[in-house]
Amino acid sequence: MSERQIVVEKMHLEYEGLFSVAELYKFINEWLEDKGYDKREKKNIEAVHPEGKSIEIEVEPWKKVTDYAKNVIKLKMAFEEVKEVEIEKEGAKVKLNQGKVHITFDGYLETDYENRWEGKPIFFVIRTMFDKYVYAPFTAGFTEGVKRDIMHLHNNIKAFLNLYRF
Amino acid sequence: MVLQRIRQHVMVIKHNGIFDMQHLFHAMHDWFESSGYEFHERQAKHKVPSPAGSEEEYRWFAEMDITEYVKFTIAIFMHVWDLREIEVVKHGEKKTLTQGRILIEITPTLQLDWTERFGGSKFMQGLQDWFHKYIWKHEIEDLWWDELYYRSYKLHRVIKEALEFETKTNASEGRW
Repeated sequence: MSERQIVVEKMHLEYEGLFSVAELYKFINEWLEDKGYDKREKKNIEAVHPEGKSIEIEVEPWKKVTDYAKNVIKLKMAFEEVKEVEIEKEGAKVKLNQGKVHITFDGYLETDYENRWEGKPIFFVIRTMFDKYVYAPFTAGFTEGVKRDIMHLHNNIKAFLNLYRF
Repeated sequence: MVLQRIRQHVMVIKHNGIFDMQHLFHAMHDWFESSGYEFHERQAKHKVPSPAGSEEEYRWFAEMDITEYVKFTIAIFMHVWDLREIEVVKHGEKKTLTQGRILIEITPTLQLDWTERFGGSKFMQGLQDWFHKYIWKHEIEDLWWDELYYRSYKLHRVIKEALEFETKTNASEGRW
């Protein structure tokens, strides 16, 4: 089995106010594509309630860094009490959403994702030794990459949401 | 084993509210047909309605031969609860829609050697493993796996559109 090293654990972003769910989602998709991540949409749940829509999305984008390591980002997005509102912006009517956003970010570095070092117990020992003494500087670089990507996405989403402060 | 199945992750879509079931089924079926898949309905269940509504369950299976060695399959599982027909006025027109809860699971699978060319002896099976590991590794992992992955996301989007989800878009939509 591949090994997952936790790099970022439960980083939260919360927002309440005007925004566009579709635009925010599109923005995240574009960011993932720009950064070379393959998006894995595990769950997408929408429910309509009297107080508004609730949306729950879980995506787990991943990017191969080498044949041995890959970056994995886990995003859990929860939108609550999402209602459609119409506002006037520069004389034009724009349809937006009003509601609450809660995004949780997790970041992992997954090593030996092809299970090449799992065949025999001796391989596992060798892999552990290599991880500890040979690959350590590389692994440190990769974990930095995961951290950097998550911070970049986090800051971009924050900036995106601030655009809608009227 | 001769026939090898590489199962991709399951995509889950859930919806609770009003939706057009007829349109959803048509959109999914049309997507399979237009994408060249052979479509089968393997199971359709309908339970006697309770005061909350009826319950239905569907299992669909679609397959497409890519080459004589590679086949794409997509399995769909659908479960609908508390199903009730309601009449709504949409864009000034009266329409019969469905109210209820729906769960859709999409499971894409890459099938290798479905014609069983490597069947018969242990030598042939060893040869198959060797081919998969060293000769066709790039084709399997970067070409066929990717094609199935991105095609399945297209169906994923069709379903989200039919259910009128806020989050319809997907990343890498230009691929395949």
